[in-house]
Amino acid sequence: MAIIEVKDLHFSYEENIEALKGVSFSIEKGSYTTILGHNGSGKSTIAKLIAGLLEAKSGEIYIDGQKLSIDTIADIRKKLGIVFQNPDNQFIASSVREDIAFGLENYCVDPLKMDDIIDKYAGLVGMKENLDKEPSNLSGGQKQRVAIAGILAMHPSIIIFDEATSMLDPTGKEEIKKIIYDLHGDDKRTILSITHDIEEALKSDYIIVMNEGKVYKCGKPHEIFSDTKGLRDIGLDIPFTYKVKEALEKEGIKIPYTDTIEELAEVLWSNLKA
Amino acid sequence: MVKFESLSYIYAKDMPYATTAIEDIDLEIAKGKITAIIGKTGSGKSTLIQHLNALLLPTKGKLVIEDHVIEADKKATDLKALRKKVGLVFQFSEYQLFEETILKDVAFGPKNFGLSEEEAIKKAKEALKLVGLDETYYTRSPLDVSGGQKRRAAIAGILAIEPEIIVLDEPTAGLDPRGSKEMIELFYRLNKDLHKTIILVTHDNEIVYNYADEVVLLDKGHIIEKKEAKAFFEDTALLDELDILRPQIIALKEALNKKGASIGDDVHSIDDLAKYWRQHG
Amino acid sequence: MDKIVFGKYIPLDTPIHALDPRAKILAMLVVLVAIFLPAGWLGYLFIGIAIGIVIILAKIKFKVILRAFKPMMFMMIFLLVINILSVKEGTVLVDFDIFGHDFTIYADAIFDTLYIIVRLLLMIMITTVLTMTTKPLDLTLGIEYLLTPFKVIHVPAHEIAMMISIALRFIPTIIEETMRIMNAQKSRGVDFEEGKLSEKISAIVSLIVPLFSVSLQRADELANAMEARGYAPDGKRTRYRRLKYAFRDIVLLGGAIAILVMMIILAFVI
Repeated sequence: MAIIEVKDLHFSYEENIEALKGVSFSIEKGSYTTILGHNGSGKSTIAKLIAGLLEAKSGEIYIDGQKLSIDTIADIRKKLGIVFQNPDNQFIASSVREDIAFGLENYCVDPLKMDDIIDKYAGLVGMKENLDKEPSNLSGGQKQRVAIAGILAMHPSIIIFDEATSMLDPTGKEEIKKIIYDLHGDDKRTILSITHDIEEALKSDYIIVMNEGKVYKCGKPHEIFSDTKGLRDIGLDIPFTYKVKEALEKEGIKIPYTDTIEELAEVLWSNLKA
Repeated sequence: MVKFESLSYIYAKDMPYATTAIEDIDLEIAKGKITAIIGKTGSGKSTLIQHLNALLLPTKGKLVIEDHVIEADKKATDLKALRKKVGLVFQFSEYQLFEETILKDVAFGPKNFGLSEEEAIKKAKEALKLVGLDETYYTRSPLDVSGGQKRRAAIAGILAIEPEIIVLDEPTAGLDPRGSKEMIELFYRLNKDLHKTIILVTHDNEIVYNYADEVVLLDKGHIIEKKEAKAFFEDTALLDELDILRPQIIALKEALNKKGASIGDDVHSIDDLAKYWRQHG
Repeated sequence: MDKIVFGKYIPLDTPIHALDPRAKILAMLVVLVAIFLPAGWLGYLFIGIAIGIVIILAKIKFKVILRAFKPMMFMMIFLLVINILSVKEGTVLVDFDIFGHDFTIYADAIFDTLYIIVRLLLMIMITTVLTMTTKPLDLTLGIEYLLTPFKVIHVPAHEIAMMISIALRFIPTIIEETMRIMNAQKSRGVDFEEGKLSEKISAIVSLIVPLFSVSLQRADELANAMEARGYAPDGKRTRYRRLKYAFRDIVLLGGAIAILVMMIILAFVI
């Protein structure tokens, strides 16, 4: 069942310049979908439209069967959490504890129950030891973890990551990616991740490739990445293992698709022995 | 030539919460090369490079940049000449743009260093050409263009000063893969064609492996290792010990060699590897 | 960044830290009124001792308080000079001659200045104690609670508190940002310390414009993040952090009111 359905979405930031030129796709409940595309391809705009932070010029968005509109936005926001790119610009309160509480306050959760909820979700993202720290004493990765905890505390069935790892150092990137994989694997939540990280995209169930305000292609990772020429034409990178396969083919060596370096080494090694 | 001599820097010296950011740094950075400075967040990379523009002055020791000497407890003199020689491109450098047009903004630096309006504009145009922004951008507002173009305009603002040494702090942060690649290739060209000395702070070891000549590794304010870049990443035992992310080609070679292959140090790229596999397969 | 220590919150476990922020704010307001009553030296001595006790209880080093005075030094000297030149009453203390100009210092000039200085010092002491022993967040929460009754006359208590708390949260970020932009412009040859007036103006513009545009972007993104998490300024919400008066708060308020009453007596009755 589709939990997110987007139909013929049009959007412009400025008149006469369309950022989205008719975008349609649907996302299955419990799936992990990544949206790839270079900067300016319209991918972040989609996230903001789905979260109701921007209003589409035309087109429709359905979340869990409900059509997104002024009347339903409050309801829909409860089902959907979004983690933004800049760790600094989404940390609202002055301590980890209070930042996680921010969303709970907005949804009128009983203050007496908040401490337990805060503990639980801070623990889930590994921030239990830092509950009383101020944002200026946290790393970028830690701030993003707090943002995730704040969202999880509201039990959304959909979580959108809008380039949530792109401003982090390698350690931070790995921390957040691990949480994303766990959220999908253990919790069966619907995850929509807008990213530049093709290694992350490789791990997702579906990929939507955006180019110039349109959906360029949708599909499973290997369907998307096997089109190396098409991806290069629209300025996207190709996963390492796919590049190796491509280079070997030029030398007349055929190997199957692989996702990780370990798999690739295995395949190459058996190819050598054969 | 750039030379750090037992240089230390302490933040908030004399305060109860004083912290040593870098300690006893002895480092020579060769002219005309691309030197990458790597290390975890908080290892002192940014502190180190800010000394190159006398934005921080050493608490101890000294720094020699050609004929400039910056010493602890001595007022730095002739800062302008130093800052003309060493151009510093900060992380998220697009935040330094402020003039009404891109051309004016790029000309701002050269004007500060004493060039006439006319000469400054000429330098600005040359710099914009280098970063790939054509005439149509001259009159556009720097706040009106895309993130990647803003970054280029900001970098042009440093290049227009014509520094001999260019220091870059995470120049690719926040750019998409295509933007990153174009950015790094720009610096590679500046080094190869215009013989600029490039000092690059980055977390991206693929860039270090593919483009840098030398690697300097900082950890907790100390220099742990300084080595030729390719050789640095071949030493996988060292990478394990220092907890360094491997470039993917190194990881693949390592995995294959563990299985019994014997791919040598001359395989640096995917194409090298493919050729190697054909010859040995 | 190291210089901004004036009045910064220091986390300690003392009875003063444990006081309810509302009680502290109210007590401060009461004592501030008391300070402005013309109660004479005896009165100031009294208030001084009372504040001194609070400082000792809060385990704040007097050295830190002295440091808070430092930025006021210039103003105090300035005040003294103005008063010496303008006040021409009371007994003549000194009368001398500089290059043919008659120069007289009257006792009242000195006294008037000392009065103002003592009042200023007491005010600084009391506000410093408040900010050093109260978390900024508690302070805003206290302000919000205290302003709530004024909602009937359309004082947006919650919005004011939210604005203050966001401002406080972003101060370190914006200081860092300022440093970075300043450094970036220095690298482009901008001299923030010296130079002609026109150069100074251009230096400031090169700092302010980027700072503004970054802050606007921050504000925009922050607003998105808040909205996405269900925040509506006029919406109903619960509060995680709640305030509760304790016995010690009554003691504090009682003490503050006692001081005020005493000052009124000293000033108007005796």
